[in-house]
Amino acid sequence: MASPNTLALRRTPLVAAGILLGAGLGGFVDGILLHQILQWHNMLSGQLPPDTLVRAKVNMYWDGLFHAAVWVLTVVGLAMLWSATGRPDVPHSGRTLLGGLLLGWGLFNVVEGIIDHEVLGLHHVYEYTPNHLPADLGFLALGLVLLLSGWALVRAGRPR
Amino acid sequence: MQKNYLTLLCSLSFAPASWACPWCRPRVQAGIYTPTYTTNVLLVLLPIAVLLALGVALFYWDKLRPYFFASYGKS
Repeated sequence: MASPNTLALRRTPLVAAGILLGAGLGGFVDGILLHQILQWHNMLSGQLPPDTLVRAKVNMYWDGLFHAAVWVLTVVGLAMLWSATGRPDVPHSGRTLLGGLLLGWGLFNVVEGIIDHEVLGLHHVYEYTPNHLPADLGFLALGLVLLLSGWALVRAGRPR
Repeated sequence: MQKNYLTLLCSLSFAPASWACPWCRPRVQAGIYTPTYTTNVLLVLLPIAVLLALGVALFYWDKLRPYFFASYGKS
C-alpha cells in the first residue's frame, strides 16, 4: 500500500465537500436572514405575495421545503467531508476547506439568483419595491465576490 | 417542581392560542396542494439539485474523468 508521501495529493474531494457545505450554509443564511428575520421575500412571493395570513402560510410551506433541501445539501457535504478526511491522498488543508465553503456560498447565490430571481421569477431579493433589479444584482455581486475569494483561498491552499 | 412544569407545558400545549390558526388551515392546504404542486416542488428544488449535482460530480471527479475523456486520444 502506498504511503501518504508517495501518493499524489487530490484536493477535489475536500473542495467538493466544502462547496456542498458552503452552499447549504449559504442557503440557511438566505432562508433565516432574508426570509424570516428581515422578511424581504419568501420562496414563492413573486407569484403569491404574502399579503394575507393564508398566503403567508402557503409561502411558509415552500420556505420549509427549501430549508429541508438545503439541510440535505449540508448533510451530504458533511458526509463528504468525513469521507475526505479519512483518505491519505487528501491533504488536511484549512485554506482549501475554507475556500470550498466560500465557493459553495458564492455558487448558491449565483445559481439561485439566476434560476429563481432572473429566469423563473419565483421571487426577488427585496419584494417591497417596484424595481427589483438593484437588490437582485447585489445578491449576484455578493455571490461573485464569494466565488473569487473562495477561488483565491483554494489556490493559496495548494500543497507546496 | 417537575410536575408543575409538566402541568404548565400541557396547559400551554392544549390552549386554543397554540392551535395555529385552525380556521385557516383548510384554506392553507388548498393553497399548497394546487394542480401546480408538482411543478412548484420541482421549481423550488431546481437550484439545490443543480448544486448537489455539481458537488457530487466534483467529489467523484477522479472516477468520472475517464468516462468524459474516454473518446479523446482514440483514432
